[in-house]
Order: sequence, then C-alpha cells, then structure tokens
Amino acid sequence: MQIPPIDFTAVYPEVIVALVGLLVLAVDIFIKPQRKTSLSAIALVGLVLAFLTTMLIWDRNETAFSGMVAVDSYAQFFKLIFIFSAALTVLISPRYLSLNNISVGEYLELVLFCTVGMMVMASANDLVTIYIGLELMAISIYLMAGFQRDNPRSCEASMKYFLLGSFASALLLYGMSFFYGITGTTSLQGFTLSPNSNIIDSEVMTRLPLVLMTVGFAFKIAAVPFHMWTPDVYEGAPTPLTAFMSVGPKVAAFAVIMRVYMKTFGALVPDWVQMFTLLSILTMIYGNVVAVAQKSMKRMLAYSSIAHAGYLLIGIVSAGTATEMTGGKAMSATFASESMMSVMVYLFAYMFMNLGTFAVVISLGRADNPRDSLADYAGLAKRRPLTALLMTILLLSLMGFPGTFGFIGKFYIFKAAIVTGNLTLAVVGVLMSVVAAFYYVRVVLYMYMREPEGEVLAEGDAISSTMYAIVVTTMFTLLFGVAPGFIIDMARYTIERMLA
Amino acid sequence: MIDPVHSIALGAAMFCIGMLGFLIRRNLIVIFMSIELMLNAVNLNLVSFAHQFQSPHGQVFALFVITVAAAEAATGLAILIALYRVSRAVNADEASAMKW
Repeated sequence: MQIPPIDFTAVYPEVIVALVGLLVLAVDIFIKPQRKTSLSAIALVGLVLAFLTTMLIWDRNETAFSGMVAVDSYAQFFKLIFIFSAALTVLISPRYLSLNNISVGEYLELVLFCTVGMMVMASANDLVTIYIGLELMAISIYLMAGFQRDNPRSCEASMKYFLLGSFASALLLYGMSFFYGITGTTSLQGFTLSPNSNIIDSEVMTRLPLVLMTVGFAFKIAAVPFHMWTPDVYEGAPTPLTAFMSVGPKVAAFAVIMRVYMKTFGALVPDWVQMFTLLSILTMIYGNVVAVAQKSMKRMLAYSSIAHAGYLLIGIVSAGTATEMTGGKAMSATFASESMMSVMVYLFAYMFMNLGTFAVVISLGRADNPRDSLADYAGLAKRRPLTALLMTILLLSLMGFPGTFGFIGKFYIFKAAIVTGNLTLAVVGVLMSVVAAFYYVRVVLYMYMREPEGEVLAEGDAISSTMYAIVVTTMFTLLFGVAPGFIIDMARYTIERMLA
Repeated sequence: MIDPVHSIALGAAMFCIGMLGFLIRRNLIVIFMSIELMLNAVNLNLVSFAHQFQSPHGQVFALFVITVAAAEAATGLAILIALYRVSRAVNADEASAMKW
C-alpha cells in the first residue's frame, strides 16, 4: 500500500487563511482589549497573502490529493471573490462590533474559517470535499448569525438557519449517497447514466441524486421555494455578517453548481434545465415583488438577494440549454462557456455592490438603534452627502443601470438567455428588473427628496474603515462598469479551461 | 446475508421518519433528533453501497458524515441554549420574533 504524495502548494490559499484564523484566535487571548483592532490587521494581511498565493497557482490545471481537490483557474477565480468579500467584511465590521460589544477575535476567526469552507467548495472535485467545505462554511455561519447572544432576534436567526441548513444538507447528503450508489465512486468525474449497481437500475432512480442535490443547493443560494430562512436570518444576524452571508455562501454554491451540473450531470441536462427554469422564474418574481413591500432595509436587501439568485439561475439555464443545442458542436460550446462567463461576472459584480450597500446600512447604525428602516434614509443627502452619493451608485448598480458593474452582469446574463433561446426567462428577468428599479430608486428618492421626520441627529461623512469599504466597492463598481474587459476575459479564460 | 435492497429500504424509511419528524414536531430537541436520524439514514445507505461495491469510499464518506454531524449537533445545542437563555423557548413556534 502506497500513500499518495501530498502537494500542499495546491491548497496554499486555504492553508494560509485557516492558519491566520487560528492565529487570530490565539492572539486574541493575549492582546489588550484596547488594541483589538490589530486583529483585523492580522486578518487583512493573511487575506492579502492568500490573494498572492491564489495568483501563484492561477495557471495550474490539475487535481491534487488523489483527485479530491481540483486546482484550476476556475477555482482560483472564485477564491478571489471569497478573499475580496472576506477582506471587505473585515473592513466593514469594526464599527458595528464596537457599537454592539461583540468580541473581535472569535468573530474574525469564524469569518476566516467560513472563507476556508467556501474556498474548499470552489475547488472541490469530490462529493466528500464538497460536503466538508459546505459544512465548514455553514457551521461557521450558524454561529456567526447568533453572535449577539443576548439579542433574541440574533439567536432566533441562528436557530432558524441552523435547522433549515442542516435539513438541506441532510437532503443533499441523501442525494450524494445515491450518487455513490449509482456510480460506485464519489468523484465528480464518475457519474454515468448506465449504473454500476444492480440495485439502482431504473431511469427514475438515476434522477434521484440530481433532484435531492438540487434541493440542497437551492437552499444555499436561497432560491424560491427554498428561501424561507433568508429574510429572518438576514434581519436577525449582525449586519456585517448579513453582508458576508448574502455574498459568500451564494457565490460558493454557484461555484459548485456550475462545476457539478455542467461537468458531472452533463448527461442529465434536460432534467436540470427544467428544474432551474422553474426555480429561476419563481425566485425572480417572488424576490422582487415581496421586496417592494419591505420597510426595513435589511429585509429589503434580503429579498433583493433572493431576486439576484433568480437572475443568476438564468445564466445556469442558458449554459444547460447551450449544451443541448444541436447543430455545430463548437458553436454550442461557445454559448455554454459564454453563459457561464456571464454568471461568473455577475457574481463578481454582485459581491462588490451588495457588500457596499450593506456597508452603508452599517455606517448609519447606532448603538441604541440599528436605523435600518426606510424612514431613516430620509434626507440623508443633506446630512451625509458623500454616503448618499455612494449609496445611490451602489443601488443603481444593483438595479442594473448602464455604466455600473451591475449592468454589465445583467447585460451578459440576458444576452446569454436570448442567444440560447430562453426568451421566457429573459422577458421575466427584464420585467422583474423594472419592479426592482422601483424599490431601489425609492431609497434614492428618500435620500434626496424627503425631509426627515422628528429630530435630526447631527452627523457627517465620518472617516472609518466602513467608509473605506464603501468607497472601494463603489470605485470597483464604477471601474468595472466602464471597463469590464479585464474581468470578462478572466472569466472566459477560466471557464474555457474548466469545460475543456 | 442481508440483501442490500433491505438496508436501503431501511435507510429510506429512516430518512422519511426523520423528515416527517422535522416537519411535524415542534420541540426543537426532537427536531434535532430528526435531523440526526436523517443523517444516519445517509450513513446506512453509504455503508451498504460500500459493502456492495467492496470499495472503501462509502465508508470513508460515512465517517466524515459522522464527524461533521457531531460538530453540527454541538453547534445546534449551543444555539439552543443561547436561545433558551434569552427567550425561554424550546418550541419552534415560540421563536417567532421576526415574520414577514
């Protein structure tokens, strides 16, 4: 018996982030309370190191750890998104943490471990790796959602997420066990339509893992009708974590979905295209329509993030339809990679604009009052002109206004849908974007047109790390909105190598 | 010799009982137990498939599932205690501060 060689260079980003997480936890014990901000600095340095090592292994295209982990540009692309979102979360947190007396050390440690889990998911090449990454991510988030132990809402959010999350992962696992029963392997490359097993040999049974795993992933991306946990958890969790969990797990689940459904379930495309079409339409309609009725910003953004999952699913459906298309194999391969490219670009855009918007919500909060209702935004332009301006840009980007990164993402998604003949999805998507415009623009109107009610607190655009995060995300939103070529080329390159 | 079909049928029954328990019962601790039952159904499935294929993959996977389930149970109980401290709730219906 020979033990295969272990190539740690393949997982350097994960190793570094995990070690920095442990380091933060250890340093937290010895450091004086007034110097806790240095923990954030350690975390940021670790994330920069992880970023550099990710770039170092960018061009590799192989598997490591006996095929458990895929080391390809596709995984590295997603690791970049996770590193960015973790770094931005570290930036937007200090203000909220000090206002609410939350211990910095454990908080940062959980953020970093969650990031490791998401990175493992993105580079998973085996069901076991997917499951471990998913649970590492999910357990960290269950705990983070309940971080304000003395706040009933926070505990309740944590409980709800825990129950529904573990229910979803049980369904996912049950699907995975049948995957193993059909193929005799847990490797993602192993799926076939001609089962190796004499127990499972019917047509229906080969669809069982597909259906169960789709339900499990749909929970993670918060697609309707598996979205029930989202608004409550987003509302109850500490706001910086709401920002983090509205981006990270969703992006990680999409990373896994694209790899598993395009590569592994390639033979079952007609089946999952149907499922995702239905999920996408329901998600877009429900998310956008219910968001209109929300008075709390956090809840509104929760429903808007559900809606964004719907748009992203359009890209997945287009990619599936493209591989089905007859006539010109090269042509359909191009369409498939273009559709997946659109999803990846949209995820990148979504990360910047959503984290930025939540950062604004955090910057308004006070110790005694989270001030996240719509009325609190009335007259913000007079009190804090810069914040109001940046918030406007971010909201326009979420809406998909030309000149912003959000527009680029939506444009490519809808283009992919039209090219691959998914006109229904494109029409529903555009109509729902109009509905979305209503609730995003409403916030802008409140900020610029409304006079605040009651007494007005004197405040200005204070310089803080939260403000830096808002400025950085807005800059990227505008920069890539005007010149998206770099990200598009990067996504195209990674996806072509993954599908090849 | 037990036929693999039997153990898979048992697994399916366990999974369904767990799922029903999760959906119907209101006591949070019973809901936890239901989730554990579902995970054990998965383990049974994995192990019986592994036996049939004579390959270790499924058994290794089952070990991972057991480990993670333990971590999950620890987390869940911690959350439950935190929730009980602030709201004295052990029933799912009582934790309803937030509704759309």
